[in-house]
Amino acid sequence: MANHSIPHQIATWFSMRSSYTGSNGALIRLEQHLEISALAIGLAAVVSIPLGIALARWRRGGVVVTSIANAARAIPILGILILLAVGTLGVGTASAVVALAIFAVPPMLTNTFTGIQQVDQDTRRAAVGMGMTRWQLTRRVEVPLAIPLIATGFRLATVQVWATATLAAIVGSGGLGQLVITGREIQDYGELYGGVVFIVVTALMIEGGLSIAERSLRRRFGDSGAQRVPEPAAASLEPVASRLR
Amino acid sequence: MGNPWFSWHYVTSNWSTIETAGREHVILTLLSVGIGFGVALPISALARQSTWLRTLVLGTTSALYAIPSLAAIVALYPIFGFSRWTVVIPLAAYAQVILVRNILTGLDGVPVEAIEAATGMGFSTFGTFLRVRLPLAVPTIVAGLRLATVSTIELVVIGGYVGTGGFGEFIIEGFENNFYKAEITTYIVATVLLALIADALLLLAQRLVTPWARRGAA
Repeated sequence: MANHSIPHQIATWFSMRSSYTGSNGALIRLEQHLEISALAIGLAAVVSIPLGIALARWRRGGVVVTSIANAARAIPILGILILLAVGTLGVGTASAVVALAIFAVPPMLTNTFTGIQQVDQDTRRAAVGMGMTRWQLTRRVEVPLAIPLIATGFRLATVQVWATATLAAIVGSGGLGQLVITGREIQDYGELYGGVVFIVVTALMIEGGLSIAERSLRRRFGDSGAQRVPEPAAASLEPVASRLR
Repeated sequence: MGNPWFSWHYVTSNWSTIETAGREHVILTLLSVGIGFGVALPISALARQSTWLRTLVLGTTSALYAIPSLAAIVALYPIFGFSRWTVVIPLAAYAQVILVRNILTGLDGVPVEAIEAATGMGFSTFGTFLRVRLPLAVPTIVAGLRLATVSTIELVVIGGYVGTGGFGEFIIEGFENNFYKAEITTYIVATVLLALIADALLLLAQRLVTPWARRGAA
């Protein structure tokens, strides 16, 4: 392998059936990547969406949300991943899921919090005037109005988790990153670049797919984002994920 | 023999290694953010020319952002090897994405009244840009620089996987070296401290270059 040129190795990898269906094939790695990402996103959503709703009710909630987001930004995810792997969770899927979930919390939490906070005071008063309890106000008014921003948080978190899950292979959890790592170790540039192509293409597909889903959600639940940025030029400036991966 | 989570003995006996890694970490960060900023300025100027150019620029840069750093770094490794470019090229690209957005937001956010006042005072278009629009956009641009710098410091760690220097190399080494916890923790703490110091320095720089912002707030 190593004595062939890099383009030749890439062509060979893509043309071999075992690259896709083998025991270190792209399909099995994709399945692992999906499993890790889905578990991490689910875990993060279960924690951060209720927490965001609860914090939005509290006067000092904004300070908590900002502090969590800032703290997470200063911590290297690869470091946390490795700390968990050498700790009680051990090498494997659990460490990867927990590390990815920790860093998926800030985008979901911030957007849920902002979504609930920006519900119009008059709308709230009208709901209370109609005799709604605090719980009904949250469930039937605030959460539905916050859905577009909750969806934004979900998309940002998902794209981030999918991209970061590449690192999971370093602590032995497999996923698409494994192709890149094995490819580098055995100097099979076909597998290395094959892995890169799979990771980048799937990441872009997820980003694109979720953006479309989000837009249709926005149409259904009303675009609450448009009220905040009236200038049409600024509307195209959507938030970037809270951190890089 | 124990394997403690943290050991001062480790820190003191490896101080010179930590220092060298820290210096390299800073150089890689400065190069990435510096080049990213150098690229972001003309790109932002271009994006302000027309709506479709803006859409094109924002679309292209957000696609760049979806590329995972490990994939980008490992992809460049066979080409650039252990040279700094393996890490600096992708990291400068990511920093540029954050910076373009903040530069555009900052320049857009300047009140129309301020621009009209400058024009009324006889400033040329370029003079208005240089002496009114740009200074008023500085807080947003510096906010972008802070975000880009802190993010880049974290990403340099990932470059450690291919052994391009900085703190990350030793986090990986500690993991591969029978889970040497003291080494892993030391370099994680060093990374966090570096990020906090860089953030504080940029905040201080922002206060120094925009004294009017504080006067207004007081």
